Amino acid sequence: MSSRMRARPQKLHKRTRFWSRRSIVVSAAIGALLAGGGAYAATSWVVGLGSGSNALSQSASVTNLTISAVATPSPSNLLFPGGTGDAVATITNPNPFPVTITAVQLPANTSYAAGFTSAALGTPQSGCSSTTSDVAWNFATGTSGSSHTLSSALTVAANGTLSVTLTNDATMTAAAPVACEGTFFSMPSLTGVTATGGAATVTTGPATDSWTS
Amino acid sequence: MARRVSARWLVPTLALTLGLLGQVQPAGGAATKWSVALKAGSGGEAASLTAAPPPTGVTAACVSTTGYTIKVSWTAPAHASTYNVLVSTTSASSGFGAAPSGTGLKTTTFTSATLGAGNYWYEVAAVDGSSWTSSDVVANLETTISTTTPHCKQP
Repeated sequence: MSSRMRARPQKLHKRTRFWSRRSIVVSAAIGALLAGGGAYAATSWVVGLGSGSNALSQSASVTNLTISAVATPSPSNLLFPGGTGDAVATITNPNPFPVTITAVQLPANTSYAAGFTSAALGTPQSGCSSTTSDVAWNFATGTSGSSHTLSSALTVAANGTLSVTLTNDATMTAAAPVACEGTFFSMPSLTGVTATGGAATVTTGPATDSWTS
Repeated sequence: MARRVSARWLVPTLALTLGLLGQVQPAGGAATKWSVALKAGSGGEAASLTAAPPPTGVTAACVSTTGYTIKVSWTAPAHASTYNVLVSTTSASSGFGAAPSGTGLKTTTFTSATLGAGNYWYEVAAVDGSSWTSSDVVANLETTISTTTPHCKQP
């Protein structure tokens, strides 16, 4: 066996060790990239709603949820002074994966709903504005941002919407003015939601849910 | 030789492991909260009753044929917090005013003070909260108070 042939295994061995180090570095880099940008296929992302702030710098692939007032279905339980009523909303999920909402964060109990003359919420109800209506979210506290767990988690389909009736989650104080009789209310904006993105069984709409404390 | 093979398998295994971890959690980890803004001015829609429900079954009756007082009774509607009793000596459809001691009642009965001779009609309204007042519901019968016996009678 020539000296050249005898040296080859040594060279191969040296090359193998070099590949291992480089591969580890490359592997770590790939792993880090996937960890930072594992976008649409993610299975357990945590998504929340903040006080009007966007923190999308963590991932450009997650888009805001929106919760909108809707006229239908009509609430079964209507507000009256000292009582509670239903709030109806549509949740829109523009993301390409389902989002499951487990809790909501409410504004302070001094944030009142504005009153309107019809379900279209177009014409303000005279004498029943957001400063006088005394209509707020039920169980809201004196501090904005209090969190309230839903009785059942709501999962909104990818790129989908979900209509939900929040049973008796609106409240009207006993001091509500007469001007608020027969009025439709645009409830105060929620300050946030606790939600998780990823595969889940989508809630069939229209749904009924609530927080009870 | 065995160590070389292990190192070669370690490379893709490590990459795959890190990659899978990356797909399970966002960069900040599972506890990361992503803030998402809400559409301004929205959060749901609610509606209120068009009016406070009125009481039902309003009746007026003599406390006794020998007395000069009238008792008014009614059935509570949903949500009512108090009641107002009104009285008229004119007719069943006009001349009503607040009955003495008949405002802000928390019970579903009202007994008048001693009345003078005359014809009396009563009606009741329910109040929700502090100011939502229902329509007035007139009692079923006129009641007559007389100085002669029977002092209290109804048709």
